Amino acid sequence: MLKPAPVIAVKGVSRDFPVANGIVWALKDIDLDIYPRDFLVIYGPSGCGKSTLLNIITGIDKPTRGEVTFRGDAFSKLRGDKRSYVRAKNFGVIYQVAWWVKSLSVLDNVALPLYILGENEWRTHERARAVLDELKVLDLKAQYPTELSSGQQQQVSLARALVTDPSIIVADEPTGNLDSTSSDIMIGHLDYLNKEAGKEIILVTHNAAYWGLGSRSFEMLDGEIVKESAEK
Amino acid sequence: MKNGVIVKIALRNLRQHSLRTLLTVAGFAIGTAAIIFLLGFSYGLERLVVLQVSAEDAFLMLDVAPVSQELTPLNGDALQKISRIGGVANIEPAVDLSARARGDGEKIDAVLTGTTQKYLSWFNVDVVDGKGILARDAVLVNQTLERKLAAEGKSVVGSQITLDVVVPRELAADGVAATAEDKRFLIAGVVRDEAPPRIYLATRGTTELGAVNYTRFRVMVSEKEDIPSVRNLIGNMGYKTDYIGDTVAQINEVFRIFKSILGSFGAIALAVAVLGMFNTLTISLMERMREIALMKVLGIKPWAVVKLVTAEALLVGLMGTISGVVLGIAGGLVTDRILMSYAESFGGGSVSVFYFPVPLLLLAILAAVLISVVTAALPIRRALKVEPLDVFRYE
Repeated sequence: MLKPAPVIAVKGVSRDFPVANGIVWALKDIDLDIYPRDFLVIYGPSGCGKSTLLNIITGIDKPTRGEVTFRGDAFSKLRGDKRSYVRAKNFGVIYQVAWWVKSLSVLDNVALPLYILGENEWRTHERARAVLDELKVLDLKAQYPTELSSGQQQQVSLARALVTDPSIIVADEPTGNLDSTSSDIMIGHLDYLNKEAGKEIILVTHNAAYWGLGSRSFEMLDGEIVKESAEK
Repeated sequence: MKNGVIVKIALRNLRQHSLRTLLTVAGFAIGTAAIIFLLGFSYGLERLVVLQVSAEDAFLMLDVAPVSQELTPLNGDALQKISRIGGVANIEPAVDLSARARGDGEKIDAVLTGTTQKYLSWFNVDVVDGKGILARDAVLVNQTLERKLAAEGKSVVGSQITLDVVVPRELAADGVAATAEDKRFLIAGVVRDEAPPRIYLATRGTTELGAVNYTRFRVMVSEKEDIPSVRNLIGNMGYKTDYIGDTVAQINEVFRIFKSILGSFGAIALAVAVLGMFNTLTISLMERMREIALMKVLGIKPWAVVKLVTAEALLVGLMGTISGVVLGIAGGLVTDRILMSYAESFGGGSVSVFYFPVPLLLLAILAAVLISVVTAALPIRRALKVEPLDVFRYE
C-alpha cells in the first residue's frame, strides 16, 4: 500500500549549542516522518535530545542543519512569527510542568491560545468551556491553575492544547510529575485523541513503560535515534 | 489579541499584586498631586494678580499721556484727532489738579480729577452714598476725604465743599499757572476708595477753573487686535501710551518663572514616582518571564506583547494621574478654604488663591500617558527579548 505524504518531515536535522569549551551537538542528523493519525513515542533518558527535537518540530527552535517540513512546506525556514502562527493554529503543546498565566482563571488560561489568535472573548469562553467539559474538568473553570493538583493541572493543560482544535498534539513528558492514576488518565486521553479524533500525537517520555504505546516508537541516545519499533 | 483581552489580562496582573500596585499608584498619585497643587497655586496667584490689575474691558483700553505738554499738549484737538483713528471706539479725557479742600476749619490736600461720567464707569467707580453723577458745579469725593470732612456717622452728601485749585502752566490756557480760590461745589456723592483724598469733577468744571489741557486720555478700541496699530498711530502723533497688556505680559513672565520653579519641585516628586513605576513594571515582568515565554510558544505577536506591557503601565499611570489630579484639586480647595477663613477672621475679603485650568488637567493626563509609555519602553524591550527556549532550559 502506498504511504500517504507525511504531515511533518524531519530531514537530516542537527542542532548544536555553544558551551564554554566548544559546541555540543544535541541532535545529530535526525530523519523522521510523521504521517496522518500517527501516535509517535520518542523515548530516551534525560539529555538525549528528545525535547530539543520536539522544540524543532514545533518551530520553537531552529535546526543548525537540515529542515523540518509541515504539510510539504519548509516550516523550519519560516520567520519566527510565521512559525509561531503555524504552531498556534496546528499544534497543541503539553509540557511536563504546566505553565500558566497565574492571574487568569482556568477558563481564561484554557482560552488563552484563542485570545492570542484574536478570537473574541465570548466565543473563546464557549469553546474553552466545551473542551473542559469534554475532559470532565469543567467544575475547575473558576479556580486558578496554581490551586489545582498536578493531575488536574495536566488535564487543564491538555484542554488548553485542544482549545484551538489542532491536528497535532505534542506532549513533552506529560506524565513526568503525575501519579499512576493521573498518568493513566492522561495517556487515555492521548490515545482517545489519536484513535477517535484522528489527531497525530507525539509523546516524548523517559518512561520505558510507554515504549510501544503508539503506532511507532523511537529511542534516542546522545542526539541520535538508535532504535525504532515496528509499525503497528 | 483583542484590546479588551489585553486590558483584562493587564488588570488581572495588577490585581494579583494589589499591594504593590496600590503603592505604585499612590506614588504616582502623590507626584501628580504635588505638581497639580503647586501649579494650581501658581495659576491661582497669577489670576488673582492679573484680575487685580485688569478689569473686564481692560485689554481694550489704552492710556495716552503727553511726552511733553509744551510740544504735544493733550487738548481738545488731540482728542478729536485720536478719536478719528480707525479702530478707536471711544476716548475720554481726564485731568489731575492739586486742590486744597476746606472743611471745618481744616485744610485738606486732595487731587481734583476732571473727567467724564464714561471715564469713571470704565473704572467701575462704586458710589456708596448720594448720586454718582458728575456736573460742572457738583463733585464726588472719595471715602478718605469724606471721613476728614464729615463728623462721625454723618453724610457729606448735599453739603458744600470749598476748594482752592492750582492749575499748572502746562495745563492752563495761556501757558501761565493760575490759582482758583474759594470755589464752592455741591458734594453729590461719595465713591468707594480708601486711597488718598480725591475729588471728581466734570471736565467742564475743570475747564472753567482754567485747565484746558488734559493729563491723560483713555482710549477704547473696538477689537483687541486694533491695539498695536492704534498705539503706533498715537505714538506717531507724539504721545506715549500705556497698555495693561504690557503689565500683564510682565506679570505672566514672572509667573512663568514661578511656575517653572514650583513645577520643578513637583517634577522631582513625579520622577521618584516614575522610578517606582519602572521598578514595579520591571519586577512584574521578571516574575512573569515564564508567562511571556508561554504566550510566545502559543503564538503571541510581538506587537501584542508591546500592548500588554504598555497596558499595565498605562493603567498604573492613568489611575495614579486621575487620583493625583483629584488629590491635587482637593488639596487646593481645602487650602483655599483654610486661607479664606483666616482672611475673613482678619476682616479681609474671600479670594481664591488656587486655580486649575482645564488645559492644565488635560495636559497632566496626557503627560501621564506619555510618561507611562516611556517608562514601559525598557520592560517592553526585555519582554520582546524573552526567548522561550532560554526560559524553558532555565526552568
